[in-house]
Amino acid sequence: MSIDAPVAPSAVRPEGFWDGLEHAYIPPAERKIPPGLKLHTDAEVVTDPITFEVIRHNLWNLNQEHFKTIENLSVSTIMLECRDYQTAICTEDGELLFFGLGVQYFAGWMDYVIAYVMEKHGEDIAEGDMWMCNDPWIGTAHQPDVNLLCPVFVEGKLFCWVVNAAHMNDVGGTVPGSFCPNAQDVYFDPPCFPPCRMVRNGEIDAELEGIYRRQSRTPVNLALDLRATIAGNHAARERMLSLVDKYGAATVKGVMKGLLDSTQDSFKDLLAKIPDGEWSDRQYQEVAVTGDRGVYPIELHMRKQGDVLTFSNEGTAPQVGAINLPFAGWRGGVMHVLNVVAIAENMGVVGGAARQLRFDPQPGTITCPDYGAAVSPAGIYATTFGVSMVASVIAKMLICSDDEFLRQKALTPPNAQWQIQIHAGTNQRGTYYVGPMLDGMMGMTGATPYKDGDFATGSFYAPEGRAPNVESYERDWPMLYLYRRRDLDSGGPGRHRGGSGGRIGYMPYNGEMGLGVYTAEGIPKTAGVMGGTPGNAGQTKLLRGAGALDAFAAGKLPTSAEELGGESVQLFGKGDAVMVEADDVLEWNWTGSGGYGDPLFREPAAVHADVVAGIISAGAATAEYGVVLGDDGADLDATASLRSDRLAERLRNAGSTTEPRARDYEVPAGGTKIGEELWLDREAGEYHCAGCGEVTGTIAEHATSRLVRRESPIPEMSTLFEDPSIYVDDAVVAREEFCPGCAVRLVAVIARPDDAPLAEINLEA
Amino acid sequence: MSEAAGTLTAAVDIGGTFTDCIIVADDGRVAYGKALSSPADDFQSGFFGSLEAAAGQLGHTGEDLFDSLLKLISHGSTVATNIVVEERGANVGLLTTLGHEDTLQMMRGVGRITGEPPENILKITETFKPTPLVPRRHVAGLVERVDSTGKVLVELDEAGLREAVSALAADGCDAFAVALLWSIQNPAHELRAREIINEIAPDAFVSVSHEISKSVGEYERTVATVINALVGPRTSQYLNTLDDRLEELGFEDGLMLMQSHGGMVPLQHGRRLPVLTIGSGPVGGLVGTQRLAADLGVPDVIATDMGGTSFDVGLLKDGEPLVALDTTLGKWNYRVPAVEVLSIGAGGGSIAWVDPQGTSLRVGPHSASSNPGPACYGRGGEEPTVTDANLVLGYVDPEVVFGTAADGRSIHPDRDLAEAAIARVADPLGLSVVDAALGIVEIANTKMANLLENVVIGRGFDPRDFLLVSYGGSGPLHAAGYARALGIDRIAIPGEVASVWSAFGIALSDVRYHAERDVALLSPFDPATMQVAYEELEAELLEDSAGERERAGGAVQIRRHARMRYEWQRNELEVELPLGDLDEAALTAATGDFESAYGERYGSAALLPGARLEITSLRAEVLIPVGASKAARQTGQGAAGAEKPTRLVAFERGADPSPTRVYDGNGLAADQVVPGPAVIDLPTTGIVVPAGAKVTRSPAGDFILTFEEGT
Repeated sequence: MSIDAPVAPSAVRPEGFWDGLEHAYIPPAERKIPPGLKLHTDAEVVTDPITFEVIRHNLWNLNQEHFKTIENLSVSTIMLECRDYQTAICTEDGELLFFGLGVQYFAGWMDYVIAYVMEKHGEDIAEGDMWMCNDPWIGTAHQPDVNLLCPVFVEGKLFCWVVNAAHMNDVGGTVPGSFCPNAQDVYFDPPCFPPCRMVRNGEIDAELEGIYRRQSRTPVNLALDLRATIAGNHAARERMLSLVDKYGAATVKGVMKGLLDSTQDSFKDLLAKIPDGEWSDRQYQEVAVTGDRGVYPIELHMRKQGDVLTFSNEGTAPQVGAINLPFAGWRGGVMHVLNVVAIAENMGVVGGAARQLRFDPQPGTITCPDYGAAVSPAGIYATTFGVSMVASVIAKMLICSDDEFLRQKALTPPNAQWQIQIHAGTNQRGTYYVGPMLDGMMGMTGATPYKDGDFATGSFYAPEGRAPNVESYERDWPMLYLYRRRDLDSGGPGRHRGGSGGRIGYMPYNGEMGLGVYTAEGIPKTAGVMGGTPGNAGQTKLLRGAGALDAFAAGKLPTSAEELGGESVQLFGKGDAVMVEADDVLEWNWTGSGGYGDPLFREPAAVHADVVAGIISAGAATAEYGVVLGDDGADLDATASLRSDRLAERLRNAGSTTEPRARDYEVPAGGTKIGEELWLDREAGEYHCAGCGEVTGTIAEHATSRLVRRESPIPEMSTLFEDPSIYVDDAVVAREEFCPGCAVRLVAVIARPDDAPLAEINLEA
Repeated sequence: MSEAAGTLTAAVDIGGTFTDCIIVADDGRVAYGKALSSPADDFQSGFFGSLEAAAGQLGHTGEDLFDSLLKLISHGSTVATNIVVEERGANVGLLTTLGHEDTLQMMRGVGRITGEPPENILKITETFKPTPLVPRRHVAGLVERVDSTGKVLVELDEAGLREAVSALAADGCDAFAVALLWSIQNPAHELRAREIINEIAPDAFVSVSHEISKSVGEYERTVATVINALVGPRTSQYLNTLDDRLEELGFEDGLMLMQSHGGMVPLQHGRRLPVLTIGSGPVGGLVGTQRLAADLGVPDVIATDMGGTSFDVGLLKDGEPLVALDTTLGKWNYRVPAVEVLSIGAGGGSIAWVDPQGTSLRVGPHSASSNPGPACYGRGGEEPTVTDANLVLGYVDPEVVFGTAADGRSIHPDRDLAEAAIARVADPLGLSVVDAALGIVEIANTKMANLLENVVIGRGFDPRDFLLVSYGGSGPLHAAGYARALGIDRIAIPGEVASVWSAFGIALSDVRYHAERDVALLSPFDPATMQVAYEELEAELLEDSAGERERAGGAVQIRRHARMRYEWQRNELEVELPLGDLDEAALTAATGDFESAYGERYGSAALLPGARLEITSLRAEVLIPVGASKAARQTGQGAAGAEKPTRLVAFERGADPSPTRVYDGNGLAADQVVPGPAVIDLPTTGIVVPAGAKVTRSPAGDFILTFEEGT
């Protein structure tokens, strides 16, 4: 088999260890294919650039058609609005060729599920069948994301696969919507279906469908969505066969292999522009399951050596509660970020890049749990978290390149939790409904070393996703929005500010509503980069007897929780379902992204412009950015003076006795620049501050090993943050590290006091 | 020839460069005129210049043209479209429901990807949202609230409204858009807001959302309302000037505006809704196609319009265009009544390039657009385009004149420049210039065929059941290529020159009023409820259209439609309902129609017995026939023998260009057959007839391209 070994050498374990039963499934380097399964492997190298392009476009288009067919027919809101599904073409041996515009982290497993089916059921793979699978240990991020694989046969041999995976509205489990934050283990979750033939010889297996539907609170929706995915595969298979008919199997396969090769080459070219090294991130999950108050570290390390990237989760806490991310989803995060940041111009041929990736997971951990762990709420807590951490290490890697185009792609990570509310009950027409509020699909983008993040630029997770209209929810669900808008002071402060999140207030209206899933977190989880402040956390306020109806009668329209009355009920993360009564109001937010660089060095004029535009408050201008506002813009003298005081205070608070140095240093030509903040003197083996020239770290340690440090309560780092002790018992603090020379902030993270400093950037000598 | 009073119908189509006019006499005679569009004088000299030129062809120069001969002038234009695209709109103040001021800026999170070619969707770090249509400081929230049933929850705070309007007017807003939640269920607050704006800023243009769209979904309705306000002052100004001038000339009450829904409305009715003129040009082309299809007796048509920058596709099913759900203009999505015309950025200006790995030749999505234009225009473009390839291959007449540049000079293509440009991709790929040019054409054709596949197959139809109609400046050059890729064996190319086609369609259009109401009805449906709703809609339409009905002698056609879906599903199909009293039987028949259309589109596997159906909107329309339905086709018919000297034309890679027969299209006689390989030159374009295909001139003057079996 041509596929490179996906397991890093250090993770090689006894044969059969990564089995998809006790542990995650990872295919062996030498794929096991039973002799009864004949593969159609003829491939002709297509040297003609015109035929190549014509077939390439047709292949891409057939995957689009697959995607659109599902869009036309699906019924669940999550599928329709989040585009929480995905379609792909895979080669006969399961490499991901075209991967569509839906949820990007699904790329983490479609190829592996195919490998599993070939290994375990190869002799049973037959024309006209479709295999369903939602087993997280074989390949899905959580049970609601259901795969449907359709083998395509040419001349009686397996030519390729067309596949989709789709988030189904409800597949069972303890909570409507099948995200089960109270799941103690997998038996609280919706059932896992290992690969089974839902379609045999072109017909739905009625017995199997009966079992599947029986698990769901919304069986009709599930049956319609199943049909949508079947129709999608059917359309894609027909198009593939007509392409083979027209151009010949060997030519079409030649283009498939050629595309994988050329994407592999383009990814290698990219890696060649980056120095070897290791980049890391550590964030903290909280509240493993309903009622818990724990804090759990997750680590991600990405090592680049030559043209290979290796990912490890060493340092991650053991699997616990319902915050686990199956290996498939963890790998999916990597594929996701590469697909939209590193190889976006290849239009989804992610399998070519996958050849250069190795994975070194520690089993039994939160990001590679063994069987038995609850994973159903992963879509809300764990997958976004995983993707966000990958984005963080990739951004840190890209700023080490001397290629300007790559540096511009270094985005601070997107929101690390999917802020959502799922309510259910009886709607205004007397019908049972499940209402996942997908307003967070408005999304945001991160900042780069050159540019601020943007507000409402769409979801990082699903490029074609869209947020709902207020009117569509009010028509279908028993609710009334009070407001939905940009959230003031929600983008992480930085030299370049993170993109803003949003804020929503709503109330039940003409029906009955229980709130099953909501976000209430204390620890900021979305990293800033190079000293940028992390993004904010997602919270839910429940105001009992808020008085909105009285306000309406008095001709008033409240637009914030502050304008409402009533009693505020403290909600906790992954808390129990609550009934929402007629005069209650719920307020929640979707979060912003983290900042890039030290906010004290943001242009004062940009800070003023943010205040005028309603992006930040006047208070934040001073508190976060050290800007003093005048009548008509920033007061530059007063700002310089305040910032100077702040810098001196940083050094004093960090125990240093020196005064901040001037930032008038010029980086010598030939040094390896790291963002705009640092540079590496390879000869001396030292990292220096690009502002003042002071040594910040050594090549033997890491880029920021010689900084001065201050730990403080989290709200002291930023006015965006709450005191997390409301939600968790373990101590967590804000850890800021400054250049010992000029006091520029180079690290701004959350940490437990005893956790060792992290080597975020560590280039090889 | 002397003309009887009130026997002429004119259509004037103002485009970016030219204004085209067609005049049709009641006896079927047709004349055509053209003039440069004239934004400098509010488009007046272009409008009247083209009219006078056409009238001159019929032998009329006198003033009796306006005060006696003309009974109707139909008008389409790209003025509104261009205002939006070029960001030259009014200073709009937007009034929304308080708490929802960011709706326009949030764009439902799709602002980054809307209007982007598919190649760019994954490029999160390289694609961005557009500049807001209205700066945030010009958006004001009003204290008011209506619920989804139309009940007022919070009364409109008029004092706050006055304050907001005064502040916006003081800050320079000269147009207002009012888009409040659920105004489609209860428009009282929007109507009152307009009254107050009229008091405070009597000269400002006011656009209110419930008059523009009756669909649920505040974002798309807000965009439509804002665009209407953006283009309102400028379009009102030119339309008013036009109306005044026509009145001075003695022409009264007969100016009609072409609308995006495929019908016309009188000026006084349409002036307040200029957003509905956006896209009316392509819709005109589709109406022309309806006539062509009727001439040929074909019900199902794929209409393709390939110009310099875009490839537009519309479908006729059973002779009727499909209805669009959303319209996209630039990076904005909105929802108004419209005929569906989809577009990709593939045109004569699409640029060819080599992918960084050197494995494939790519075409688009970047375009040389009209400035600098293809390399062969000699206006500074150096990159190879599809038009350059067509020139190198001998598909277009080397003596062709590609219209007129904005500075008034004619554009004559330069073949040497085209070859030099194509060498930029041919050389690195080791191809000859001719082979690379053939490759560019083949790839462009593939992309268009793929779009057609998505549109046609994606709607559950089989392209082989359709006639393909091709027009536009670049269409007929490529039609054989993209039709063949879809297995379509018959293509029709209108005999009219490309630029007239849209004006021709506008001249044929009828007056159409329609009214829609969003509902949420679950099966089993109650006929009485629906009957009441339709009767209300129809009464409203009949009142609105009283004037036109009288002028048309009372002839009127009423139609009823319902939009239906499976409960919770978003995919909706429109079915027609009978007139008169609705009963169970009529509704059973309609749901049967829905299920069979659904099954036809998505396969029987998609049907789920027992799933509930939902009706989401009811629509009624009134059609008043006023169009020049008798118009003879404006196609020059010649005598047999239009053959021109041969020229070198390339059809196949690896083979040298060979001397090929060339014809003057306008000189071909009815029933004359041109066997391929051949090229038929047409003004500004040409028909490529590959080997194994032939073209027959129809009696109406159209060119019918067919493939022989097995090619």
